[in-house]
Amino acid sequence: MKTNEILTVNNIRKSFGSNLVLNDISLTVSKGEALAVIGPSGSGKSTLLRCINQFETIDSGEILVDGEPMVTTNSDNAPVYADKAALRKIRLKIGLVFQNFNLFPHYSVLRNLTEAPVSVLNIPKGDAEAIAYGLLDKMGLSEKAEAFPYQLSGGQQQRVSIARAMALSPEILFFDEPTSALDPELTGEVLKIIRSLADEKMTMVIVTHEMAFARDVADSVIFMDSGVVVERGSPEEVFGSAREERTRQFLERYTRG
Amino acid sequence: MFSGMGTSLAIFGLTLAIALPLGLAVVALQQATKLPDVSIPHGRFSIRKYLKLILRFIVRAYLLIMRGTPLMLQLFFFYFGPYYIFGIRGADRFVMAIVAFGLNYTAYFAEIYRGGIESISIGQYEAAEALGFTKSQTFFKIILPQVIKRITPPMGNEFMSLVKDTALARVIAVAEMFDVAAKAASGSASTIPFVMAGVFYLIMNSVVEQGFKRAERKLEYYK
Ligand SMILES: Nc1ncnc2c1ncn2[C@@H]1O[C@H](COP(=O)(O)OP(=O)(O)OP(=O)(O)O)[C@@H](O)[C@H]1O
Ligand SMILES: [Mg+2]
Repeated sequence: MKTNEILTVNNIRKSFGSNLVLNDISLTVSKGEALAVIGPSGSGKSTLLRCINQFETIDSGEILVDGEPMVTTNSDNAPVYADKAALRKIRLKIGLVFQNFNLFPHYSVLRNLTEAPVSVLNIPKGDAEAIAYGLLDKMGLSEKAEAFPYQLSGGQQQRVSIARAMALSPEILFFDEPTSALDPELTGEVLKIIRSLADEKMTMVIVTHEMAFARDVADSVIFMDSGVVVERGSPEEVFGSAREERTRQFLERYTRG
Repeated sequence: MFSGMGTSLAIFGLTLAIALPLGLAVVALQQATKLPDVSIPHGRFSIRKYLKLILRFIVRAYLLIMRGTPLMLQLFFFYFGPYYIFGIRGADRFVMAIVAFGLNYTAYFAEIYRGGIESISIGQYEAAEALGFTKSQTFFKIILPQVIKRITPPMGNEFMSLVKDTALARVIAVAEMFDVAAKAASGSASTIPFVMAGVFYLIMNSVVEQGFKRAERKLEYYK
């Protein structure tokens, strides 16, 4: 295996009851890569992210994070998950940004950023705060450290939630439609932050409906439909000259609105 | 009069001391015996599952009985039950009153806790999990503080009800405030003792109300 592969997903399947939601999905993400995942509603994008983030269990296939197996499949084609300690270690290499932020409302912005580093990674409070201030500065939110989430706009809340995930220095950061819950005029400020992370070569997987953004920021793009990866390519390939008819139809429908 | 007050206060305090933690334990049991919402297809016969079902049924029956029958009846049951069912004599009135109040209020508190816990969005749990918090860290650092804020107003109501309900202990002849007042009133053919009892409950409840107001104000720093 290539050493710069942070995420390897091989042939995963996932059903909810009789609904086959992920049908033999494989993909890899290399260090420093920004991968955009696009596709129609219900195609399984969120489910894919949730499987990688240990919120759902897969039915078969394998997932490796930073070369370490999170789940593999045995000879009976049943999934075998790594032990608790290993799963925890993997979890800490992964950051996740939610569509609706999920900030902790009873903590100040600063504490939202420091609580996990302090109580999960045992980083001294002072160090955690220094890291947090650095991140808030980057997010353009230095003056909001003492504020509570309810006092912030949606765009500011989402920037805090990105900072919160970054505070644990993950190897790879996942976004599930980070701007879908925002008013249109607030999406820009969040996309700008993600773009700056891409410029710094942060490894990211971004599920998004913002096609222009995906085209602009991603190193590669995956189009998913009905639980399969229909095609993968550079933004130019996928948006400019998609090989698959399904991709072209989706993009056409999308750009027509 | 003063010993009556002391008894009423003791019923109030001891009931809370029992019911506040026990209510949380009941909710914990209730949550632990929850069956997964998606029925797992490879569901073999499992003793665990049946044990869960039985426990779950017991909790449900307990909550229904405690909330669905008069507290007065429960007081009678706990006081006379030991004799009529097991032939045990000499159950202590006060102790049995505390048992009845404790178990009754445990059920109400459990419902309030459950409402509070269920009102916290699944996103809070997932965010905590994604950040690597352990289950107990998630509960104590993320969930519980938010639950406390949400249950403070209904808890205030429940505390005030309890103050008034302590008068029910009289039906098994516990000499609490109201009982003492009633006896004094009939002895002196005067309504003054009742007025005094009324003032006592009013003062107690205004203290309770003030306490909760203050607590709610303290928790207003976030939404
Ligand atoms: N917990 C669940 N239980 C049952 N079915 C589910 C569950 N989560 C998702 N599904 C189903 O899986 C399919 C894929 O859903 P998913 O949320 O992954 O799609 P998506 O690509 O993220 O869509 P969107 O763009 O609308 O967010 C849908 O048919 C959905 O109904
Ligand atoms: Mg989705």
